[in-house]
Amino acid sequence: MPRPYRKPLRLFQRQKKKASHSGGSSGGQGKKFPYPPLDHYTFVPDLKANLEQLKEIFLNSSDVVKRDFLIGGQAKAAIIYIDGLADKKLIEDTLLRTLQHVPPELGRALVEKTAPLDRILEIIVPLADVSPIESISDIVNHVLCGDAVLLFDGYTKALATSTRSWEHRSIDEPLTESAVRGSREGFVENLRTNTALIRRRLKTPALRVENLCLGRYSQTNVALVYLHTLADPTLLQEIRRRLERINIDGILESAYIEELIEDNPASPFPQIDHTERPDKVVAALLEGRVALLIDNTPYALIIPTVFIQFMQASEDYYERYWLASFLRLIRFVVLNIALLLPSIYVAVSTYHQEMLPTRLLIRLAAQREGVPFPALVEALLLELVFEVLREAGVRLPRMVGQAVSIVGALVIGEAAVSAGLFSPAMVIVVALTGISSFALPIFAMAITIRLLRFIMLILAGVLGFYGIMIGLLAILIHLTTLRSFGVDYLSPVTPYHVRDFKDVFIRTPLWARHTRPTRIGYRDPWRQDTRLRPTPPKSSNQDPAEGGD
Amino acid sequence: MRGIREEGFIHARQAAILMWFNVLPTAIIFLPSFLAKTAQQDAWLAVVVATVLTLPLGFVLTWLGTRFPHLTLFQYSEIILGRILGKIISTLYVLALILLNALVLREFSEFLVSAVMPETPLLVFTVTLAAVAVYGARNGIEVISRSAEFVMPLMVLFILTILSLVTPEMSWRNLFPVLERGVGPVLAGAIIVLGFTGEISLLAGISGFINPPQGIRMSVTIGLLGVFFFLVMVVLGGVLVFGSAETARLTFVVFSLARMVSIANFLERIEVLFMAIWVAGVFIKVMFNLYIASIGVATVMELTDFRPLCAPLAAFMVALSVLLFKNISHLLFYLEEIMPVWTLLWAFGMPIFLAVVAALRKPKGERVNVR
Repeated sequence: MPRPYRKPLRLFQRQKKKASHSGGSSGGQGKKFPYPPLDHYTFVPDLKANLEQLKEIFLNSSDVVKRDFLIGGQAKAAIIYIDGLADKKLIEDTLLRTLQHVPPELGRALVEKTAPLDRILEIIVPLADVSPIESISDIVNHVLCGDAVLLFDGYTKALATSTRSWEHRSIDEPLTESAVRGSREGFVENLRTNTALIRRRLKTPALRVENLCLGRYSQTNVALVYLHTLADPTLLQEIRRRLERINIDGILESAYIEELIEDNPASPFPQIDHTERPDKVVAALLEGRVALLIDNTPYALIIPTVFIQFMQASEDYYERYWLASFLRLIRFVVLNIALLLPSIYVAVSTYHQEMLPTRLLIRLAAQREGVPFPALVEALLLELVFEVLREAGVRLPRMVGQAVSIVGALVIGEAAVSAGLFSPAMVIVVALTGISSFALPIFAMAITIRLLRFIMLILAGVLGFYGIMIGLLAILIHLTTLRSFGVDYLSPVTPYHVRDFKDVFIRTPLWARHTRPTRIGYRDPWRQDTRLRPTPPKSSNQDPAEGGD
Repeated sequence: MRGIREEGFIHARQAAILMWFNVLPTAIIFLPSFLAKTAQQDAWLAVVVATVLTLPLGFVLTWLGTRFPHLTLFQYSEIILGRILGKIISTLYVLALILLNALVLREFSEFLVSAVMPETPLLVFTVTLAAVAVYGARNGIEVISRSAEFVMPLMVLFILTILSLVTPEMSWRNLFPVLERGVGPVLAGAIIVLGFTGEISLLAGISGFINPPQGIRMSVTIGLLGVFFFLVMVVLGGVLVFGSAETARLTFVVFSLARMVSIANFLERIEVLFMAIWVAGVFIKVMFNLYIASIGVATVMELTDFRPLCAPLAAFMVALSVLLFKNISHLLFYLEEIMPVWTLLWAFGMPIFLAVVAALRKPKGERVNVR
């Protein structure tokens, strides 16, 4: 008899048996569909019994539609599908009408089994994408995916007809990554649409889309997309291995997968990039990276991801390279401001006043006169208020959000300062920091920076510039230990790949970017001709005869 | 050989950078004033002489590194001298390293306390730096060399910026007359410099991780050149700006140089920024020393993992750093008078001794580990 006090402990024990079982089964999660398993149901050559079984399986759910009919007025058959997932119009207008009106000889042939079922179906079924199935669980699978399944009396064979069609959002402009120039198409929640968006940009048989099914209950389709001439096979192997490990009840967003396959789960830094833009995914695929598309979410994951990708926006490559390089440098400045500005302000005003010019120092000191908090507390409070305001603005409905921002701006910007609670300089610093963190192109990195800012702030308040430096060094060590699927997070800066510097601090012109990233695209390093730099004739081309050299 | 779980490999360039970090951070702070004291305006000549005198050590390191590829000093000392003697030598080397790191930690904290934050207790700096160094050292040689690679450009940029911004204050007359009092003071100065440059011998502690092993030649060459260039620049900068007499009176010359910088009457007194960058440099050095000490102990004890050793060793170093010196003048006296001799003993003596024995005994089995 198990001792009672050991029971609560079980909650924390991982079910190792189950995990190893799922890992050992070939094909991974896909084979276990549907969940819970239906192995004890058998397909019998009796239509009525089969329908009874299906009725039992679907527990009389109201969205499951079953209909009996006669093929050609002779053979008993039934069709089963899910209302809302299957195309009702296609089923009623095309499938049922055709089947009911086939010549009676064919119906009789079905009843008397004078001809093989497949032959007869070839003649009578009016749809292109059909697949024969021979087990109850396959029937359930197909029905759950939106297919209409035809069952025939007297046969242990059913026919799944692809009638998948459900309501979904149409292709829209990507909301989180809008660009001035460039494609306005963003991914949608439908996986097939998303793969088509990629396929439309890469019309090559080298583009491979591998399908997986993850999540016991959700059975979410996940597509591993890559160019098989470029992607590193060991990387693909590693991704597949990590994906097959996943044994979870449901996958609702790409973040679930991101969190379950990343290299360092304890790190605050995002190690996998996500995007709504098909052109960004295609650019990544062309560098030799791999994309993961997940059904029911418009966000695709890009693997592997290095730090520098969070400083790059897809627009960088569509604007002139001078501007793009300038913006890239600005982003590095902004990154530092977002991480360090409040800490530097606190450190300077608390410990290192001598760094400031006298006039500025006097002005700052005059402002801080009468402020009841030390600089550190003041900064922490204001930062907290800012975070709360931001959070409130994000979560509230749009109409109320406006009110929140007005109240926030008034209360914080005006009232708190004139009441003498905060110094105006601190408000400026915090506002500048907030805006800077929004200027980072990728939100995931901005969140991380915001979080680290608080740690840096406390360090600066305790130890001044030395504290900031200790914090930065700890972050540096952490970043050098990070890897994303075997690729070092800080590459190409360290480890040092000089050829990859063309896309780090500046964006070099397209005609000078001959190579793929060294570590990621090594299978085919050269991406273009080396003499792509435009060389128009020097003389004015008024007269074509004079052109040339 | 047995021991040490370290799968990392470093490039010869990274080893050179680590060498650079082993000498520069402490040397640029203390050396100019020591040199100005002994060699006056010929301080830069002392650096030149010392670099030439360091060359034999460089040759020895290169020879040992290529003769015993994929092995560190702690491993090939056992091949050369036999198990017991080898272990004794390795232990002595580790003890010297621990002492060195305690010294560096103390220099670091003393500098911060006396120059930047006089009201903060010394131990705060020592402990925080050692804690982050433990975090880094536990992650192995690759992480150490990469962070060094990341910090180096910042440090180079900052030193060069400071030096170029104080050029208006420089006066060539401060350098003359050359060799006013003969060669003697220059040689005396060179001995002090050797106390710092001798620390490149730490390269022997990681020579096994350089891939390919022949790269050690490049590491030594580039590392020594880098050390030489920046030492000469900093020493020259100090003497040119302040003159030798003034330089000798200042304790932290580069810090005072940074203090003179003034850009457009707005960005003034950037010495705190210099302090921040310098902290990063010393951090790399402390972390690297700690790492070598840990793998040294792990190899001598034939442990499979060096990681658990980092924290206790660091704690030991912190305690030593507090106990060994009474105050900053005691520390400066040690740096100026005792450290050159001590460094000659262990940093120069041990590798050269090992190399001589290896050349005479011609031990077998040195190429077992070649992959």
